[in-house]
Amino acid sequence: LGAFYVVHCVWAAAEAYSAPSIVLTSHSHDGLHVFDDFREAYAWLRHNTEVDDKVASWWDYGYQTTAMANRTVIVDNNTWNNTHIATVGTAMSSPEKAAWEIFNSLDVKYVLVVFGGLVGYPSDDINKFLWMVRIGGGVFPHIREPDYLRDGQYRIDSQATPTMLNCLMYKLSYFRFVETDGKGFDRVRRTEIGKKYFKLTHFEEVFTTHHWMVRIYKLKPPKNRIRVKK
Amino acid sequence: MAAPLRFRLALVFSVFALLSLLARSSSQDLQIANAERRIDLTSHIIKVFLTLKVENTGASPASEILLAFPPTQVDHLAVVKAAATVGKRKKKTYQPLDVNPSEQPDSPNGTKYFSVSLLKPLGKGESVTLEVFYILTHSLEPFPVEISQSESQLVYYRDSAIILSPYAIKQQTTYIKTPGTKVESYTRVDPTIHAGKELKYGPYDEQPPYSYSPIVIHFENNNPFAVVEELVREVEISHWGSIQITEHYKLVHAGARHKGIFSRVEYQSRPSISGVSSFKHILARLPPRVHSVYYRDEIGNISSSHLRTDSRKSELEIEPRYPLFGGWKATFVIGYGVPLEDFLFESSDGRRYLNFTFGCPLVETVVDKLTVKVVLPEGSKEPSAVVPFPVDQHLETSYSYLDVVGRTVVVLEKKNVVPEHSIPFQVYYNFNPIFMLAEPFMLASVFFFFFMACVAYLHIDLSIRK
Repeated sequence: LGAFYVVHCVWAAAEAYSAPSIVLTSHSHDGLHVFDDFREAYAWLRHNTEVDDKVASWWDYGYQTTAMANRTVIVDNNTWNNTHIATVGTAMSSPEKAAWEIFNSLDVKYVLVVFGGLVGYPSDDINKFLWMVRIGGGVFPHIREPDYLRDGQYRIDSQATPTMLNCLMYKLSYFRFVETDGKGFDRVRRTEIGKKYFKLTHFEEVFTTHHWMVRIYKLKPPKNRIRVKK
Repeated sequence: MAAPLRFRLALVFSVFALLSLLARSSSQDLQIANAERRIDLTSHIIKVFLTLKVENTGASPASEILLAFPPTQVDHLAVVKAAATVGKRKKKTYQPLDVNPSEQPDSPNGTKYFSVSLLKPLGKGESVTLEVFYILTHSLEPFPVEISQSESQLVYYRDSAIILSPYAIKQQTTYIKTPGTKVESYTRVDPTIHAGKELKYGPYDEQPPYSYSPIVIHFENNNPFAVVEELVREVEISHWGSIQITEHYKLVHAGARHKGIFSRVEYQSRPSISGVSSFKHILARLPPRVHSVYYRDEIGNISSSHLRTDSRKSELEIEPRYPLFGGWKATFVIGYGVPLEDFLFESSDGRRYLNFTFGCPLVETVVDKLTVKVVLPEGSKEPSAVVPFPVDQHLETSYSYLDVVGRTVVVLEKKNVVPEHSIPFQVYYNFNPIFMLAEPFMLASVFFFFFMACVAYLHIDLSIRK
């Protein structure tokens, strides 16, 4: 009985109590799948970007980016400056051009978003988006939460509001997502996305991890010539 | 007395005359009757096979044959080997010959030389067939320098249609093999034929010494350009039964740099046109009976690897965290242990020696700077290394568990290492077996003294009052 107890404890500790939230696993009929996307993205940033490049993301990933990617972040898990967090939140909730202006003023080079729609990872940035809107709206009054709600709910399907479909978080999460299965079915929200085919004007995709869980975009440099509307 | 003196004078004079004749018999008296060169450009490690039929048309025997290289190529030469062919057809055998870099006076345009020492001197009128093999690294220049994800990689190869040699060549042909049929452009030096994957330059007749006809070939090469910028291998010998090896890699894709976006959806859905010059797997050949293999980097364990072992070799297929495109880097550590009896032996004079493979276990990779550190157990004396090719050696001391005086480390450094350098080398050292007891004796005595101190403390009465 004592030997069984030892075996049981080891098994319970390995299966149930050892879930580091940075490496995800799933069991399927052909074995164990390991989702190491976070470390893949941080390793890519560490080795393939310049030392002084700044990475903007939601503050949940700040410490991980600093420690593993060894790059400067804009907000991290211990930021006390609510206005600074609201600036990042506003940028994520704004259309592309306004977001680019905000990030450019912070000297940001890369923007990182976490996207769980392809594999069904529920703690991604679209699910956390309501906080970006609320925190951003708490400081910057032009971000109004009702603009993003349809019947009191955040939607990303065909019933989503135009503000939602045009905001940076939507675009960076779902850029070319429709090309994976032809329909753009988001496994977390369990619906097809609203806007499927669109181009990015102010950002370019520089890296997406193996299971699409982390997507990294670079700010495009400003144009040399600006057309003035007559 | 006069007769032996005159005899000795005559002997000295004739020896002097013979020596001066030999000295002058370098370039002008040897001639290459037939030369065939095959250049293999399929991988980024260029292999060149040269078959030379050398004739001695001079009066005196020749004991060495010179090979000439242009100064731009000599910096990238990783290996130069030569062998003499003996016998014909089915009974051909190859006798390896020594090849050493050689300085020659008045070399035109900075030509560098290697001299091949023949086993027996080539007499007047005799001929010998030499097989020369050399490897060039970093000699394929990507052009365009930057490519996008959906483009294929094209590179330049610069050489000469006519083999550079200090001797006249009567007839020669060069065959160049490309990895695919796509050759963007090549310099025509008639007669030149391009058929499929092979370019044939020649035959060219009656070329004087030092003729050179530069050619540039622009072709497609999508084979992985895996270059390890720096590799540090630590081989730690423990007489308690195993050798622990730790290897620190800095890997880079040395082909055309990647520019612009990286689209994961295109990479996954259209692998035949997207990222064709990138690579995501590398194979490492490890010794058989390897145990405790780990593959990690600065931020933790990398789970994407496969280990396949059998009785003669082990293969570790590693997949870095992300596929490597041009200019992308990855650093990681591979560690493993092997049993001591496979690699440590005792030589006839009582010294122990480690017989281990030099070089990098990754296949088809060039290592720009390789450092091998052999950590000998504590108490080893007089270490020396025997390596079949030139390396820089020095000694260091490192401290590990339970070390008092430190362990001697033999450090071997070499630049420009290719898979042909993965051959065994030996490190000899003296070790008195009594030193093996030093560590357990230290541990046992520490515990002994501690327990004795406890016993003494409990039994000694330190009170002042009776």
